[in-house]
Amino acid sequence: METGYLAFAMVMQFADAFAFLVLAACGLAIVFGMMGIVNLAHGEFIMCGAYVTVAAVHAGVPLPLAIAIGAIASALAGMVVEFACIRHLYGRPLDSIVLTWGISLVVTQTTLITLGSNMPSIGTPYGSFAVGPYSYSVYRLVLFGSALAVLAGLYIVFNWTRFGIAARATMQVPHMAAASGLDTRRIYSWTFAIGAGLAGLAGGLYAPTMTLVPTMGTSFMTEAFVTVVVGGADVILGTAPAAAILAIIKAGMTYWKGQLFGQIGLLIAVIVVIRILPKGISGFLTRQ
Amino acid sequence: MPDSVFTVTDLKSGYDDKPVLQGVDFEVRPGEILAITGRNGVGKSTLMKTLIGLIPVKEGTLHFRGEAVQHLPAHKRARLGIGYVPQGRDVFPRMTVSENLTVGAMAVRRPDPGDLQRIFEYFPILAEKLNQKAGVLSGGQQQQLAIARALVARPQLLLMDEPSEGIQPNVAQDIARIMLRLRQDMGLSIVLVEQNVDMICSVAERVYVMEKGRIVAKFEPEGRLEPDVLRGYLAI
Ligand SMILES: Nc1ncnc2c1ncn2[C@@H]1O[C@H](COP(=O)(O)OP(=O)(O)O)[C@@H](O)[C@H]1O
Ligand SMILES: [Mg+2]
Repeated sequence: METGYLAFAMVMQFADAFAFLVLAACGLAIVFGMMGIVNLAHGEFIMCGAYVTVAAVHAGVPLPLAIAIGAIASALAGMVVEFACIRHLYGRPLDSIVLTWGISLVVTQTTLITLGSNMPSIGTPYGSFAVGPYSYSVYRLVLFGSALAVLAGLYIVFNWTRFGIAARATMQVPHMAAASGLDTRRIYSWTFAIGAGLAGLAGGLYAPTMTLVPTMGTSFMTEAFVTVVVGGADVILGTAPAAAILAIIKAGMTYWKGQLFGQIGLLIAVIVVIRILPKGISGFLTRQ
Repeated sequence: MPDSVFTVTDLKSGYDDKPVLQGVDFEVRPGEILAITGRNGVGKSTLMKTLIGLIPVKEGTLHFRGEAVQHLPAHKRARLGIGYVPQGRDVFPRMTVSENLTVGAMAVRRPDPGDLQRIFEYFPILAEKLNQKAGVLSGGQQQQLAIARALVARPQLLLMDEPSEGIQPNVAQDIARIMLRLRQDMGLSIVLVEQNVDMICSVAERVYVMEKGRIVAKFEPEGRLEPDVLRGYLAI
Protein backbone atom coordinates (compact mmCIF):
# COMPACT_ATOMS: atom_id res chain seq x y z
CA MET A 1 0.00 0.00 0.00
CA GLU A 2 2.74 2.43 1.03
CA THR A 3 4.51 2.13 -2.31
CA GLY A 4 1.21 2.67 -4.10
CA TYR A 5 0.71 6.00 -2.34
CA LEU A 6 4.25 6.93 -3.12
CA ALA A 7 3.86 5.98 -6.76
CA PHE A 8 0.78 8.19 -7.00
CA ALA A 9 2.72 11.04 -5.46
CA MET A 10 5.38 10.53 -8.13
CA VAL A 11 2.78 10.51 -10.89
CA MET A 12 1.35 13.77 -9.56
CA GLN A 13 4.83 15.28 -9.52
CA PHE A 14 5.23 14.26 -13.14
CA ALA A 15 1.81 15.63 -14.07
CA ASP A 16 2.66 18.97 -12.44
CA ALA A 17 5.93 19.25 -14.28
CA PHE A 18 4.43 18.14 -17.59
CA ALA A 19 1.54 20.59 -17.38
CA PHE A 20 3.83 23.46 -16.49
CA LEU A 21 6.26 22.71 -19.32
CA VAL A 22 3.52 22.28 -21.93
CA LEU A 23 1.50 25.33 -20.93
CA ALA A 24 4.55 27.55 -20.53
CA ALA A 25 6.11 26.43 -23.82
CA CYS A 26 3.40 25.91 -26.42
CA GLY A 27 2.91 29.59 -27.30
CA LEU A 28 6.66 30.06 -27.61
CA ALA A 29 6.93 26.89 -29.70
CA ILE A 30 4.22 27.96 -32.14
CA VAL A 31 5.73 31.37 -32.76
CA PHE A 32 9.19 29.86 -33.15
CA GLY A 33 8.05 26.92 -35.24
CA MET A 34 5.71 28.78 -37.58
CA MET A 35 7.48 32.12 -37.86
CA GLY A 36 11.09 31.41 -36.89
CA ILE A 37 10.87 34.11 -34.23
CA VAL A 38 12.29 33.60 -30.75
CA ASN A 39 9.87 35.69 -28.75
CA LEU A 40 11.73 36.85 -25.67
CA ALA A 41 8.61 38.75 -24.60
CA HIS A 42 6.76 35.43 -24.23
CA GLY A 43 7.04 35.62 -20.44
CA GLU A 44 5.44 39.07 -20.46
CA PHE A 45 2.43 37.75 -22.38
CA ILE A 46 2.16 35.13 -19.62
CA MET A 47 2.31 37.89 -17.04
CA CYS A 48 -0.32 39.84 -18.96
CA GLY A 49 -2.67 36.84 -18.88
CA ALA A 50 -2.08 36.35 -15.15
CA TYR A 51 -2.63 40.00 -14.25
CA VAL A 52 -5.80 40.31 -16.29
CA THR A 53 -7.14 37.08 -14.82
CA VAL A 54 -6.50 38.22 -11.26
CA ALA A 55 -7.96 41.65 -11.94
CA ALA A 56 -11.08 40.02 -13.39
CA VAL A 57 -11.44 37.73 -10.37
CA HIS A 58 -11.13 40.73 -8.05
CA ALA A 59 -13.87 42.36 -10.09
CA GLY A 60 -16.12 39.39 -9.33
CA VAL A 61 -15.73 37.35 -12.51
CA PRO A 62 -15.70 33.55 -11.93
CA LEU A 63 -12.25 32.04 -12.38
CA PRO A 64 -12.72 30.02 -15.62
CA LEU A 65 -14.17 33.06 -17.37
CA ALA A 66 -11.45 35.26 -15.90
CA ILE A 67 -8.80 32.94 -17.35
CA ALA A 68 -10.45 33.13 -20.76
CA ILE A 69 -10.46 36.91 -20.53
CA GLY A 70 -6.78 36.84 -19.59
CA ALA A 71 -5.95 34.67 -22.60
CA ILE A 72 -7.93 36.89 -24.98
CA ALA A 73 -6.37 40.06 -23.57
CA SER A 74 -2.97 38.57 -24.14
CA ALA A 75 -3.87 37.52 -27.70
CA LEU A 76 -5.02 41.08 -28.44
CA ALA A 77 -1.80 42.45 -26.98
CA GLY A 78 0.02 40.00 -29.27
CA MET A 79 -1.86 41.31 -32.29
CA VAL A 80 -0.92 44.87 -31.45
CA VAL A 81 2.74 43.97 -30.93
CA GLU A 82 2.79 42.01 -34.18
CA PHE A 83 1.23 44.86 -36.09
CA ALA A 84 3.39 47.56 -34.57
CA CYS A 85 6.76 45.80 -34.40
CA ILE A 86 7.19 42.15 -35.35
CA ARG A 87 5.92 42.35 -38.93
CA HIS A 88 8.62 44.80 -39.84
CA LEU A 89 11.29 42.27 -38.92
CA TYR A 90 10.18 39.08 -40.70
CA GLY A 91 13.18 37.29 -42.08
CA ARG A 92 15.49 39.06 -39.59
CA PRO A 93 15.57 36.60 -36.66
CA LEU A 94 18.40 38.29 -34.75
CA ASP A 95 16.75 41.69 -34.91
CA SER A 96 13.49 40.21 -33.71
CA ILE A 97 15.26 38.69 -30.68
CA VAL A 98 16.59 42.11 -29.70
CA LEU A 99 13.19 43.67 -30.35
CA THR A 100 11.22 41.19 -28.24
CA TRP A 101 13.81 41.42 -25.48
CA GLY A 102 13.33 45.16 -25.48
CA ILE A 103 9.56 44.74 -25.31
CA SER A 104 10.01 42.38 -22.39
CA LEU A 105 12.09 44.91 -20.42
CA VAL A 106 9.75 47.81 -21.16
CA VAL A 107 6.65 45.84 -20.19
CA THR A 108 8.18 44.53 -16.96
CA GLN A 109 9.30 47.98 -15.83
CA THR A 110 6.06 49.66 -16.87
CA THR A 111 4.10 47.11 -14.88
CA LEU A 112 6.34 47.66 -11.88
CA ILE A 113 5.87 51.43 -12.05
CA THR A 114 2.11 51.45 -12.68
CA LEU A 115 0.90 48.45 -10.67
CA GLY A 116 3.56 48.18 -7.99
CA SER A 117 5.68 45.25 -6.99
CA ASN A 118 2.88 42.74 -6.53
CA MET A 119 -0.84 42.07 -6.92
CA PRO A 120 -3.00 40.71 -4.09
CA SER A 121 -3.34 37.01 -4.86
CA ILE A 122 -6.61 35.14 -5.30
CA GLY A 123 -5.87 31.77 -3.72
CA THR A 124 -6.19 28.32 -5.20
CA PRO A 125 -9.78 27.14 -5.72
CA TYR A 126 -11.51 23.72 -5.69
CA GLY A 127 -10.10 22.34 -2.43
CA SER A 128 -8.11 19.17 -2.13
CA PHE A 129 -8.31 15.39 -2.03
CA ALA A 130 -6.31 12.75 -0.19
CA VAL A 131 -4.70 9.57 -1.41
CA GLY A 132 -3.43 7.63 1.58
CA PRO A 133 -1.44 9.91 3.83
CA TYR A 134 -0.90 12.54 1.12
CA SER A 135 -3.18 15.41 0.24
CA TYR A 136 -3.36 17.03 -3.19
CA SER A 137 -4.93 20.19 -4.49
CA VAL A 138 -7.67 19.45 -7.02
CA TYR A 139 -6.41 22.38 -9.06
CA ARG A 140 -3.31 20.37 -9.96
CA LEU A 141 -5.56 18.01 -11.91
CA VAL A 142 -7.19 21.01 -13.58
CA LEU A 143 -3.78 22.17 -14.74
CA PHE A 144 -2.82 18.75 -16.07
CA GLY A 145 -6.15 18.41 -17.85
CA SER A 146 -5.72 21.88 -19.34
CA ALA A 147 -2.31 20.96 -20.72
CA LEU A 148 -3.74 17.86 -22.41
CA ALA A 149 -6.67 19.88 -23.74
CA VAL A 150 -4.32 22.51 -25.19
CA LEU A 151 -2.28 19.83 -26.97
CA ALA A 152 -5.41 18.17 -28.33
CA GLY A 153 -6.77 21.54 -29.42
CA LEU A 154 -3.56 22.42 -31.23
CA TYR A 155 -3.50 19.04 -32.94
CA ILE A 156 -7.03 19.57 -34.19
CA VAL A 157 -6.43 23.15 -35.29
CA PHE A 158 -3.24 22.42 -37.19
CA ASN A 159 -4.39 19.23 -38.87
CA TRP A 160 -8.10 19.58 -39.44
CA THR A 161 -8.89 23.23 -39.96
CA ARG A 162 -8.38 25.42 -43.01
CA PHE A 163 -6.36 27.86 -40.97
CA GLY A 164 -4.11 25.11 -39.63
CA ILE A 165 -3.38 23.68 -43.06
CA ALA A 166 -2.70 27.14 -44.43
CA ALA A 167 -0.42 27.89 -41.48
CA ARG A 168 1.60 24.70 -41.98
CA ALA A 169 1.95 25.41 -45.70
CA THR A 170 3.16 28.91 -44.87
CA MET A 171 5.66 27.52 -42.42
CA GLN A 172 7.03 24.92 -44.83
CA VAL A 173 7.32 26.86 -48.11
CA PRO A 174 6.22 30.48 -47.55
CA HIS A 175 6.62 31.67 -51.15
CA MET A 176 4.51 28.82 -52.52
CA ALA A 177 1.86 29.43 -49.90
CA ALA A 178 1.65 32.99 -51.19
CA ALA A 179 1.67 31.87 -54.83
CA SER A 180 -1.19 29.50 -53.95
CA GLY A 181 -3.35 32.42 -52.89
CA LEU A 182 -2.66 32.56 -49.14
CA ASP A 183 -2.24 35.91 -47.46
CA THR A 184 0.84 34.88 -45.50
CA ARG A 185 1.06 38.17 -43.60
CA ARG A 186 -2.36 37.61 -42.11
CA ILE A 187 -1.48 34.03 -41.27
CA TYR A 188 1.63 35.24 -39.45
CA SER A 189 -0.27 37.81 -37.46
CA TRP A 190 -2.90 35.25 -36.41
CA THR A 191 -0.16 32.80 -35.50
CA PHE A 192 1.53 35.38 -33.31
CA ALA A 193 -1.79 36.22 -31.67
CA ILE A 194 -2.43 32.53 -30.97
CA GLY A 195 1.04 32.20 -29.45
CA ALA A 196 0.42 35.21 -27.23
CA GLY A 197 -3.05 33.93 -26.35
CA LEU A 198 -1.63 30.57 -25.26
CA ALA A 199 0.93 32.42 -23.14
CA GLY A 200 -1.90 34.39 -21.57
CA LEU A 201 -3.78 31.15 -20.94
CA ALA A 202 -0.77 29.74 -19.11
CA GLY A 203 -0.54 32.90 -17.03
CA GLY A 204 -4.24 32.80 -16.21
CA LEU A 205 -4.18 29.11 -15.27
CA TYR A 206 -1.22 29.54 -12.92
CA ALA A 207 -2.36 32.88 -11.50
CA PRO A 208 -4.26 31.25 -8.59
CA THR A 209 -1.17 29.26 -7.58
CA MET A 210 1.38 32.03 -7.28
CA THR A 211 2.16 35.55 -6.17
CA LEU A 212 1.96 37.95 -9.09
CA VAL A 213 5.05 40.08 -9.57
CA PRO A 214 6.09 42.01 -12.69
CA THR A 215 9.02 39.65 -13.28
CA MET A 216 6.96 36.47 -13.00
CA GLY A 217 7.39 35.80 -16.74
CA THR A 218 11.01 34.87 -16.20
CA SER A 219 10.21 31.77 -14.18
CA PHE A 220 8.02 30.49 -17.03
CA MET A 221 10.41 31.60 -19.71
CA THR A 222 13.34 29.47 -18.57
CA GLU A 223 11.38 26.24 -18.68
CA ALA A 224 9.52 27.22 -21.84
CA PHE A 225 12.82 27.90 -23.52
CA VAL A 226 14.30 24.60 -22.42
CA THR A 227 11.25 22.74 -23.71
CA VAL A 228 11.32 24.44 -27.10
CA VAL A 229 15.05 23.83 -27.50
CA VAL A 230 14.62 20.15 -26.70
CA GLY A 231 11.43 19.79 -28.72
CA GLY A 232 12.33 21.73 -31.83
CA ALA A 233 10.03 23.54 -34.18
CA ASP A 234 6.93 21.30 -34.07
CA VAL A 235 4.43 21.69 -31.24
CA ILE A 236 2.83 18.25 -31.45
CA LEU A 237 5.88 16.19 -32.41
CA GLY A 238 8.29 18.33 -30.41
CA THR A 239 6.84 20.19 -27.45
CA ALA A 240 4.67 17.33 -26.20
CA PRO A 241 7.37 14.62 -26.14
CA ALA A 242 9.99 17.11 -24.91
CA ALA A 243 7.70 18.11 -22.05
CA ALA A 244 7.11 14.45 -21.19
CA ILE A 245 10.81 13.60 -21.12
CA LEU A 246 11.79 16.74 -19.26
CA ALA A 247 8.95 16.22 -16.79
CA ILE A 248 10.29 12.77 -15.93
CA ILE A 249 13.77 14.21 -15.42
CA LYS A 250 12.51 17.16 -13.42
CA ALA A 251 10.08 15.17 -11.26
CA GLY A 252 12.69 12.46 -10.65
CA MET A 253 15.46 14.86 -9.74
CA THR A 254 13.13 16.96 -7.58
CA TYR A 255 11.94 13.90 -5.73
CA TRP A 256 15.50 12.70 -5.26
CA LYS A 257 17.30 15.93 -4.29
CA GLY A 258 14.78 18.78 -4.29
CA GLN A 259 13.75 21.73 -6.51
CA LEU A 260 17.22 22.97 -7.30
CA PHE A 261 18.30 19.63 -8.66
CA GLY A 262 15.13 19.46 -10.73
CA GLN A 263 16.25 22.67 -12.45
CA ILE A 264 19.80 21.43 -12.86
CA GLY A 265 18.47 18.22 -14.40
CA LEU A 266 16.58 20.26 -17.02
CA LEU A 267 19.64 22.24 -17.98
CA ILE A 268 21.78 19.13 -18.30
CA ALA A 269 19.09 17.54 -20.44
CA VAL A 270 19.15 20.53 -22.79
CA ILE A 271 22.90 20.41 -23.19
CA VAL A 272 22.81 16.70 -23.94
CA VAL A 273 19.96 17.07 -26.44
CA ILE A 274 21.62 19.94 -28.30
CA ARG A 275 24.71 17.77 -28.72
CA ILE A 276 22.79 14.76 -30.03
CA LEU A 277 19.78 16.33 -31.80
CA PRO A 278 20.60 19.89 -32.86
CA LYS A 279 17.12 20.34 -34.36
CA GLY A 280 15.37 18.93 -31.31
CA ILE A 281 13.09 15.95 -31.08
CA SER A 282 10.76 17.06 -33.86
CA GLY A 283 13.68 17.78 -36.18
CA PHE A 284 14.73 14.18 -35.58
CA LEU A 285 11.23 12.76 -36.07
CA THR A 286 10.56 14.66 -39.31
CA ARG A 287 14.01 14.19 -40.87
CA GLN A 288 14.02 13.13 -44.50
CA MET B 1 -12.40 37.77 -75.42
CA PRO B 2 -9.29 39.97 -75.53
CA ASP B 3 -6.61 38.76 -77.90
CA SER B 4 -4.07 38.79 -75.06
CA VAL B 5 -4.46 37.00 -71.74
CA PHE B 6 -1.30 38.44 -70.36
CA THR B 7 0.74 41.42 -71.51
CA VAL B 8 4.21 42.15 -70.17
CA THR B 9 5.57 45.59 -70.98
CA ASP B 10 9.14 46.79 -70.42
CA LEU B 11 9.48 44.67 -67.29
CA LYS B 12 12.46 45.32 -65.04
CA SER B 13 13.18 43.58 -61.75
CA GLY B 14 15.92 41.81 -59.82
CA TYR B 15 17.37 41.36 -56.38
CA ASP B 16 18.49 43.95 -53.84
CA ASP B 17 21.96 44.47 -55.19
CA LYS B 18 21.50 42.90 -58.59
CA PRO B 19 19.25 44.01 -61.43
CA VAL B 20 18.33 40.98 -63.57
CA LEU B 21 15.48 41.74 -65.97
CA GLN B 22 16.43 44.65 -68.22
CA GLY B 23 13.13 45.30 -69.98
CA VAL B 24 11.11 42.28 -71.09
CA ASP B 25 8.11 42.52 -73.41
CA PHE B 26 5.76 39.78 -74.55
CA GLU B 27 2.16 38.80 -74.91
CA VAL B 28 0.37 35.53 -74.21
CA ARG B 29 -2.66 34.78 -76.34
CA PRO B 30 -5.67 32.79 -75.13
CA GLY B 31 -5.05 29.05 -75.24
CA GLU B 32 -1.45 29.49 -76.28
CA ILE B 33 1.65 27.74 -74.99
CA LEU B 34 4.54 30.17 -75.22
CA ALA B 35 7.99 28.77 -74.49
CA ILE B 36 10.82 30.85 -73.07
CA THR B 37 14.27 29.37 -73.18
CA GLY B 38 17.86 30.42 -72.52
CA ARG B 39 20.97 29.30 -70.68
CA ASN B 40 21.23 29.00 -66.91
CA GLY B 41 21.42 32.33 -65.15
CA VAL B 42 19.88 34.51 -67.88
CA GLY B 43 16.90 35.39 -65.66
CA LYS B 44 14.14 32.97 -66.66
CA SER B 45 13.21 32.07 -63.08
CA THR B 46 13.50 35.69 -62.04
CA LEU B 47 11.02 36.51 -64.79
CA MET B 48 8.56 33.87 -63.57
CA LYS B 49 8.85 35.00 -59.94
CA THR B 50 8.27 38.58 -61.00
CA LEU B 51 5.20 37.57 -63.02
CA ILE B 52 3.58 35.77 -60.08
CA GLY B 53 4.61 38.51 -57.62
CA LEU B 54 7.32 36.91 -55.49
CA ILE B 55 9.81 39.55 -56.64
CA PRO B 56 8.60 43.16 -56.91
CA VAL B 57 8.35 44.84 -60.30
CA LYS B 58 10.88 47.69 -60.50
CA GLU B 59 9.59 49.15 -63.72
CA GLY B 60 7.10 48.24 -66.40
CA THR B 61 3.57 46.86 -66.35
CA LEU B 62 1.78 43.52 -66.25
CA HIS B 63 -1.76 43.22 -67.52
CA PHE B 64 -3.75 40.09 -66.82
CA ARG B 65 -6.96 39.97 -68.88
CA GLY B 66 -6.85 43.72 -69.19
CA GLU B 67 -6.22 44.44 -65.51
CA ALA B 68 -2.95 45.95 -64.27
CA VAL B 69 -1.53 43.54 -61.71
CA GLN B 70 2.05 44.72 -61.24
CA HIS B 71 1.29 46.21 -57.82
CA LEU B 72 -0.67 43.23 -56.48
CA PRO B 73 0.96 40.81 -54.03
CA ALA B 74 1.40 37.19 -55.11
CA HIS B 75 -1.66 35.85 -53.31
CA LYS B 76 -3.93 38.32 -55.08
CA ARG B 77 -2.50 37.45 -58.49
CA ALA B 78 -3.06 33.78 -57.69
CA ARG B 79 -6.66 34.49 -56.75
CA LEU B 80 -7.20 36.33 -60.03
CA GLY B 81 -6.26 33.19 -61.92
CA ILE B 82 -2.49 32.99 -62.39
CA GLY B 83 -1.04 29.62 -61.43
CA TYR B 84 2.64 29.04 -60.72
CA VAL B 85 4.65 25.82 -60.90
CA PRO B 86 8.12 26.73 -59.65
CA GLN B 87 11.47 25.35 -60.68
CA GLY B 88 12.36 22.63 -58.19
CA ARG B 89 8.63 22.00 -57.61
CA ASP B 90 8.50 23.27 -54.00
CA VAL B 91 5.67 21.05 -52.84
CA PHE B 92 4.87 21.30 -49.12
CA PRO B 93 7.08 18.39 -48.07
CA ARG B 94 5.68 17.50 -44.66
CA MET B 95 2.07 17.71 -45.78
CA THR B 96 0.16 14.96 -47.51
CA VAL B 97 -0.70 15.03 -51.21
CA SER B 98 -4.27 15.71 -50.22
CA GLU B 99 -3.29 18.64 -47.99
CA ASN B 100 -1.07 20.07 -50.74
CA LEU B 101 -4.10 20.09 -53.04
CA THR B 102 -6.25 21.64 -50.32
CA VAL B 103 -3.81 24.52 -50.10
CA GLY B 104 -3.88 24.89 -53.88
CA ALA B 105 -7.66 25.15 -53.81
CA MET B 106 -7.59 27.92 -51.21
CA ALA B 107 -7.18 30.47 -53.99
CA VAL B 108 -10.76 29.84 -55.11
CA ARG B 109 -13.63 30.93 -52.94
CA ARG B 110 -15.93 28.03 -53.66
CA PRO B 111 -13.95 24.95 -54.65
CA ASP B 112 -15.91 22.42 -56.68
CA PRO B 113 -15.34 18.85 -55.45
CA GLY B 114 -15.58 17.75 -59.08
CA ASP B 115 -12.38 19.69 -59.80
CA LEU B 116 -10.32 17.22 -57.85
CA GLN B 117 -11.79 14.27 -59.74
CA ARG B 118 -10.95 15.96 -63.04
CA ILE B 119 -7.39 16.56 -61.87
CA PHE B 120 -7.01 12.90 -60.95
CA GLU B 121 -7.93 12.03 -64.54
CA TYR B 122 -4.79 13.88 -65.62
CA PHE B 123 -2.68 12.62 -62.71
CA PRO B 124 -4.04 9.24 -61.57
CA ILE B 125 -0.91 8.56 -59.52
CA LEU B 126 -1.85 11.37 -57.12
CA ALA B 127 -5.18 9.72 -56.35
CA GLU B 128 -3.26 6.65 -55.21
CA LYS B 129 -0.90 8.62 -52.98
CA LEU B 130 -3.39 10.99 -51.35
CA ASN B 131 -2.30 10.23 -47.81
CA GLN B 132 1.43 10.12 -48.40
CA LYS B 133 3.69 12.99 -47.45
CA ALA B 134 4.69 14.99 -50.53
CA GLY B 135 8.33 14.90 -49.45
CA VAL B 136 8.59 11.14 -50.05
CA LEU B 137 7.25 11.22 -53.62
CA SER B 138 9.60 10.78 -56.58
CA GLY B 139 10.68 13.83 -58.55
CA GLY B 140 8.19 13.13 -61.33
CA GLN B 141 5.36 12.65 -58.87
CA GLN B 142 6.26 15.88 -57.08
CA GLN B 143 6.22 17.66 -60.42
CA GLN B 144 2.73 16.32 -61.12
CA LEU B 145 1.64 17.38 -57.64
CA ALA B 146 3.02 20.88 -58.17
CA ILE B 147 1.06 21.16 -61.42
CA ALA B 148 -2.08 19.74 -59.83
CA ARG B 149 -1.75 22.13 -56.89
CA ALA B 150 -1.78 25.04 -59.34
CA LEU B 151 -4.65 23.58 -61.38
CA VAL B 152 -7.11 23.09 -58.50
CA ALA B 153 -7.26 26.88 -58.29
CA ARG B 154 -8.71 26.87 -61.85
CA PRO B 155 -6.18 29.33 -63.32
CA GLN B 156 -6.47 30.88 -66.75
CA LEU B 157 -2.74 31.31 -67.06
CA LEU B 158 -0.15 28.81 -65.89
CA LEU B 159 3.49 29.76 -65.35
CA MET B 160 5.70 26.66 -65.48
CA ASP B 161 9.41 26.87 -64.69
CA GLU B 162 11.46 24.00 -66.13
CA PRO B 163 8.99 21.18 -65.47
CA SER B 164 11.21 18.60 -67.19
CA GLU B 165 14.23 19.34 -65.02
CA GLY B 166 15.43 16.35 -63.05
CA ILE B 167 12.70 13.94 -64.07
CA GLN B 168 12.80 10.91 -66.36
CA PRO B 169 12.21 11.51 -70.07
CA ASN B 170 9.05 9.41 -70.24
CA VAL B 171 7.52 11.33 -67.32
CA ALA B 172 8.46 14.57 -69.05
CA GLN B 173 6.65 13.34 -72.16
CA ASP B 174 3.58 12.55 -70.05
CA ILE B 175 3.65 16.06 -68.67
CA ALA B 176 3.91 17.51 -72.17
CA ARG B 177 0.86 15.49 -73.26
CA ILE B 178 -1.05 16.66 -70.21
CA MET B 179 -0.22 20.29 -71.02
CA LEU B 180 -1.76 19.86 -74.46
CA ARG B 181 -4.87 18.27 -72.95
CA LEU B 182 -5.18 21.07 -70.42
CA ARG B 183 -5.14 23.63 -73.16
CA GLN B 184 -7.70 21.62 -75.12
CA ASP B 185 -10.02 21.00 -72.14
CA MET B 186 -9.79 24.26 -70.24
CA GLY B 187 -8.48 26.75 -72.77
CA LEU B 188 -5.54 27.28 -70.44
CA SER B 189 -2.71 29.57 -71.58
CA ILE B 190 0.76 28.51 -70.51
CA VAL B 191 4.10 30.26 -70.24
CA LEU B 192 6.63 27.45 -70.29
CA VAL B 193 10.21 28.14 -69.26
CA GLU B 194 12.19 25.18 -70.54
CA GLN B 195 15.63 24.18 -71.81
CA ASN B 196 14.55 20.77 -73.09
CA VAL B 197 14.11 21.24 -76.85
CA ASP B 198 12.01 18.10 -77.31
CA MET B 199 9.57 19.22 -74.68
CA ILE B 200 9.36 22.72 -76.14
CA CYS B 201 8.69 21.36 -79.61
CA SER B 202 6.02 18.93 -78.50
CA VAL B 203 3.87 21.66 -76.92
CA ALA B 204 4.76 25.19 -77.95
CA GLU B 205 4.01 27.24 -81.06
CA ARG B 206 6.42 30.05 -80.34
CA VAL B 207 9.75 30.20 -78.56
CA TYR B 208 11.39 33.28 -77.11
CA VAL B 209 15.05 33.21 -76.26
CA MET B 210 16.43 35.09 -73.26
CA GLU B 211 19.92 36.35 -72.67
CA LYS B 212 21.15 38.59 -69.84
CA GLY B 213 17.69 39.65 -68.73
CA ARG B 214 16.32 40.39 -72.20
CA ILE B 215 14.41 38.57 -74.88
CA VAL B 216 16.93 38.53 -77.68
CA ALA B 217 15.21 36.35 -80.26
CA LYS B 218 11.69 35.29 -81.17
CA PHE B 219 11.29 32.04 -83.04
CA GLU B 220 7.79 31.90 -84.52
CA PRO B 221 7.74 29.51 -87.47
CA GLU B 222 4.71 29.17 -89.72
CA GLY B 223 4.22 25.46 -89.17
CA ARG B 224 5.23 23.07 -86.41
CA LEU B 225 8.34 23.64 -84.32
CA GLU B 226 10.91 21.05 -85.35
CA PRO B 227 13.47 20.01 -82.73
CA ASP B 228 16.37 19.97 -85.19
CA VAL B 229 15.49 23.35 -86.58
CA LEU B 230 15.15 24.82 -83.07
CA ARG B 231 18.44 23.25 -81.97
CA GLY B 232 20.15 24.74 -84.97
CA TYR B 233 18.54 28.06 -84.23
CA LEU B 234 19.62 28.06 -80.58
CA ALA B 235 23.18 27.03 -81.46
CA ILE B 236 23.78 30.29 -83.34
N1 LIG C 1 17.85 35.09 -54.59
C1 LIG C 1 18.76 35.65 -55.40
N2 LIG C 1 19.51 36.69 -54.96
C2 LIG C 1 20.44 37.27 -55.76
N3 LIG C 1 20.68 36.89 -57.01
C3 LIG C 1 19.96 35.87 -57.52
C4 LIG C 1 18.98 35.19 -56.74
N4 LIG C 1 18.44 34.21 -57.52
C5 LIG C 1 19.06 34.28 -58.71
N5 LIG C 1 19.97 35.27 -58.72
C6 LIG C 1 20.82 35.66 -59.85
O1 LIG C 1 20.00 36.20 -60.86
C7 LIG C 1 20.43 35.78 -62.14
C8 LIG C 1 19.27 35.10 -62.86
O2 LIG C 1 18.93 33.91 -62.20
P1 LIG C 1 17.70 33.01 -62.60
O3 LIG C 1 16.55 33.90 -62.87
O4 LIG C 1 17.53 31.96 -61.58
O5 LIG C 1 18.21 32.37 -63.97
P2 LIG C 1 17.65 31.14 -64.80
O6 LIG C 1 16.35 30.71 -64.20
O7 LIG C 1 17.53 31.64 -66.18
O8 LIG C 1 18.68 30.06 -64.69
C9 LIG C 1 21.61 34.85 -61.91
O9 LIG C 1 22.79 35.58 -62.13
C10 LIG C 1 21.49 34.45 -60.48
O10 LIG C 1 22.76 34.21 -59.93
MG1 LIG D 1 15.75 28.90 -63.46
